[in-house]
Amino acid sequence: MIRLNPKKNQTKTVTHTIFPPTDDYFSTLLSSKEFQNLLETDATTSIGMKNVAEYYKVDHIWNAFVKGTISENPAGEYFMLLKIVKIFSPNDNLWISFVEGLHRHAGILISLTCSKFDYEDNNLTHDSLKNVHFKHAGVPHFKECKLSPISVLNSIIKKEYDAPMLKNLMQVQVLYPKNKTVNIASAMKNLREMSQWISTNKKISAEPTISTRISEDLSQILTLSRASDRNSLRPKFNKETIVYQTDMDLKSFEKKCTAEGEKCAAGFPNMLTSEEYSNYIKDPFNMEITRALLLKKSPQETYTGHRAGGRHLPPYGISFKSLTEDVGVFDGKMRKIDVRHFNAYIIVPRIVYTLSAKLKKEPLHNLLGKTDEVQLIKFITRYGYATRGQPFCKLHCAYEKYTNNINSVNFVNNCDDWHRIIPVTVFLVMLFNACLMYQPNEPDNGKNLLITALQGFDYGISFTDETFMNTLSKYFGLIKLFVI
Amino acid sequence: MKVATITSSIKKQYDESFEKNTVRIHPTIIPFLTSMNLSHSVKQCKNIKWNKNDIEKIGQIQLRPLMAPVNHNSLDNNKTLNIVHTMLGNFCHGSKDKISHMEDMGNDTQMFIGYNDKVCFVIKLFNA
Repeated sequence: MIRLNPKKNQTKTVTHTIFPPTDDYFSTLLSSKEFQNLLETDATTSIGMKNVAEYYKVDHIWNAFVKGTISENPAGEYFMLLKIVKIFSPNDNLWISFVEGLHRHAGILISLTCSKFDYEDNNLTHDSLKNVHFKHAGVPHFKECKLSPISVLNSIIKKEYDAPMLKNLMQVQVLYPKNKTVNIASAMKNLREMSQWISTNKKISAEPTISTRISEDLSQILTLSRASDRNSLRPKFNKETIVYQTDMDLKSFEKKCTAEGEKCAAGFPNMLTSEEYSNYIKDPFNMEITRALLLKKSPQETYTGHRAGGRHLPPYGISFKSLTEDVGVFDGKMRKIDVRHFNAYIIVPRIVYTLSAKLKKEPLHNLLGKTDEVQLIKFITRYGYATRGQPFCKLHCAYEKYTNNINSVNFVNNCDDWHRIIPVTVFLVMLFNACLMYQPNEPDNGKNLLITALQGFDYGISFTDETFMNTLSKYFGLIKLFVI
Repeated sequence: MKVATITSSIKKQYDESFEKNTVRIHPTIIPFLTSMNLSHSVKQCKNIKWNKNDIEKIGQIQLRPLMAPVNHNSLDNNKTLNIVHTMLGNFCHGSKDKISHMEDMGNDTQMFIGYNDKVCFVIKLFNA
């Protein structure tokens, strides 16, 4: 047994036995009328307290305490009865622990004993719970109230105040070992595992859909720059260039990489191999890391005028000029990156982690910095988005190297399962950038039609994550595309 | 042939180890069924005899709830106090226009029971 209220280093434990005297003890007990009556007793009423005292064989002590008087403080009497049972009862053999509903268990204990029950002491001290504890616990819309918890509890017990969670019967599934041959250490470990899975499943089912999560991520990115700057300034990317990828097999590519180094062979921008960007792709949701990247790598100069003393932060608005004359002279192979690329470098990591967490059904923080996700982000930013010469729908051969996918996939719409993240991310980035064009009247707090559309995806219809991923990753009329 | 995953093998062991039964419990009984330790001022001895003068001394004894390590989670103090506030009828909720937590329970509670043969009657109060 461990403390219900935990300490960081919980070293002291108390040992209790588990197995009853006979294998059928629990089944007989649970089906006995006497025990069922006890379970359904409201132990805060005077009759209920009497029944409890009798069941636990402490009625002689209890009678000496109450002396037949009617108390104005039934909550105090209830607590006294609890103490008498715990101290003197020869019949207090049964103990319970919640496999599911740990907080509810603690909540019931605290409510009925009116105890503050903090991390320092594990004591249940009657009437130590005060309104200020609710304030410090961040109870939503808290307002100081003249009533105290103990006065509320007494009113509940006297039925002057409605509180269904303390007055209604609750249905509980009870587990007990089948017989004494059960290996209890391994059985308890299994219970903890099951408890974890149930909790994870509940969280996943209660979580927002992919479209909602991505719309939240993009909304946060949109706040990095002001709408007025986005639609008036055109940043200069002087040193950052890309080389358009051509069709190549993996062997030739690897040979080229060995000879020249991957960055040189592939020709992706310096920024993507910088230390700041490496840190960013390991935790793109951390605003400190994001700021550190942008303060170092976002451009200072613009074609339309300087911003005094600062950097010009993404996401950037897109204009005809930013895609044409701002990329410099194009020799058919190498050119400067444009605003679409920089926007992509910022939003791709967030989208990849969000999609991966959903597809793997794992908490997002468990995936941050993991090889699978980091490699995929590298692939999409280096080879996936807006770096491709013809044929446009074909994946770069580096895909196999970065994702360790044993199934050779040639076209972007053939990615399956977890690898659908590639086409979905590229498509979302394309849509995001498209929605940053031609917005001279964008309000100051920012507006992007993709975000609005994603927020409305699951209104009124059941739009599962699978449907979202398939819709955005497959092009079923590919043959027609090539015929045209 | 069906693949035996970690999940299915643990579920199988779980089914083999435990009997399951559904009961209805009044919340006010839960504290009596919770295992509790008594504060250190109480010393154990073999032969307890109830003394009427001990009534006042009972007030000084503190109860310390315990649990078996059957839940993956650990208690979050703030979350628990939020639940307590709801159980007590959201009495500090300050705005009629804003939503509050629902004052009702779901039916997804599961508890493990055990039998303790070392019950508290071997304790004597304030053994001087």
